[in-house]
Amino acid sequence: MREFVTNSPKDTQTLASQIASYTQPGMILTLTGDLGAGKTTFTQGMARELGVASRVKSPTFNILNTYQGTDFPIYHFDAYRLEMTGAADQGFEDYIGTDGLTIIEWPQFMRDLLPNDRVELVFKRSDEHTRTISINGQGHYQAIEEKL
Amino acid sequence: MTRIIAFESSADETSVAIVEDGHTVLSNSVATQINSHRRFGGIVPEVASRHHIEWITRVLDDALKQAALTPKDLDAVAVTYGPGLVGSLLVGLMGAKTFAMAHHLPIVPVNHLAGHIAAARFAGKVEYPAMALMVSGGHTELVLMREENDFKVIGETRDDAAGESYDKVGRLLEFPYPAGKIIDDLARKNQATVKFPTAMAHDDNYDFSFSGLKSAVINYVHNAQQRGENLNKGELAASFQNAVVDALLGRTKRALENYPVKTFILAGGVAANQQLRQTLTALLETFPETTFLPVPMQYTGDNAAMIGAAGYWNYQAGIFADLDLNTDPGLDFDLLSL
Repeated sequence: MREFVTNSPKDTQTLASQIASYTQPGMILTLTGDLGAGKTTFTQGMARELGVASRVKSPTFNILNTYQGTDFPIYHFDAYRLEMTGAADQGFEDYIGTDGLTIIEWPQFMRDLLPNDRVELVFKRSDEHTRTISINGQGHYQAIEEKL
Repeated sequence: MTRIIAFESSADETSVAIVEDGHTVLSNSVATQINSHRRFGGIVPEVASRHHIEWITRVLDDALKQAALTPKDLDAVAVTYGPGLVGSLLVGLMGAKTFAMAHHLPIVPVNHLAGHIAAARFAGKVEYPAMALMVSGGHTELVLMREENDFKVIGETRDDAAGESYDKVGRLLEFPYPAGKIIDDLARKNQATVKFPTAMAHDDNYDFSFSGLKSAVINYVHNAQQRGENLNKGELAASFQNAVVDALLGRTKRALENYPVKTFILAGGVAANQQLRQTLTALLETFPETTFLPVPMQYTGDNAAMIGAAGYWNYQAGIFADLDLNTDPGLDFDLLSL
């Protein structure tokens, strides 16, 4: 596990852009953390680095927003609204571990759809501006922290 | 006289309606998942995805019965094909296509967002150019319509939608979902005592941002808890709502100054917010050339009547789809290119 400390939303986006160079199609990043911890901010930084020209907005309402990066699509999930209902029967499987990078906020609410091979990021709020972001590779991706 | 039957299933509501000439609602049958979750005590996995399938034929029968019409009295089938949840959209789309095929009716594809705006037709006539503030759980946009059925976004949220910030702040303050009405009611009864930041008030554009406001409320609550203070949720709700309404008002005012329009529409689920309606009513009094047309309360949430109203615009413009029409979950209006 590796830990990073960021001191502003901009800092969080810079970290995301650095991690972006290690992403690839089929990879799954889970982003866990409370409301306002910086999950969507992180995704904005990563998507920009991967060549997404359109605006990356909160996917809370749509649950899934799709973006086209330079080399592969980015599937941005937010399972926040699935807490009550589960993620089954929505056709989400087509967007997880397939032809693009999948980024999932609130992954605890779509646990059943997650493969073991994934990179887990946990966002902790230290104070108003400071976040501790820990990165933990699982399965295939166990070695990812060493590369960062 | 044109009668359109409309299907809507993009999110939590399953609805079928029959609308005459785009402005007269003959029937509007809506089944909402919020009630059915409540009926089951709140947590039933998979109810959401099956709910539309369970209800689509029932609301269809109900809509025809309420209007006292048969399929041969109808001229077209309008249907929401996006934006929304793909699994949910598909149910309404399949229902609409099946009905259209069985009764030899043309299919009119409708953008859900255009539907919200077209619901203003139930309040009065739209004169062009017109502008709409579209605020809901998933969208916050200022939309310019230079003519009927022409939608261009001149400003939008950069992060969270306004309605989403209500639900997230509501969750933080432990209000039940959906929190919009609860916060609005509390705001009316309490003083705003905390000055939360209104994002980007000085930027030279029409965009919104509600993520910073959400974080400011979270920080305020955390700090109060750390000091062991009791939260006054009513005052917090009033303070939060003031910041949201201020942001919407500031952008709207600038947009109206720079784009003079004949009609200004307030649409979307958050259009039911009383403080927002009152504040915009007062603002529009300072624009005597512009008629304020807020969507009637009963049509602010998702419903098929609004799809029938927007479907009529498309029908008039000759916009039809074949039976191979597919969903477009990410459908949006184009940005205005200057």
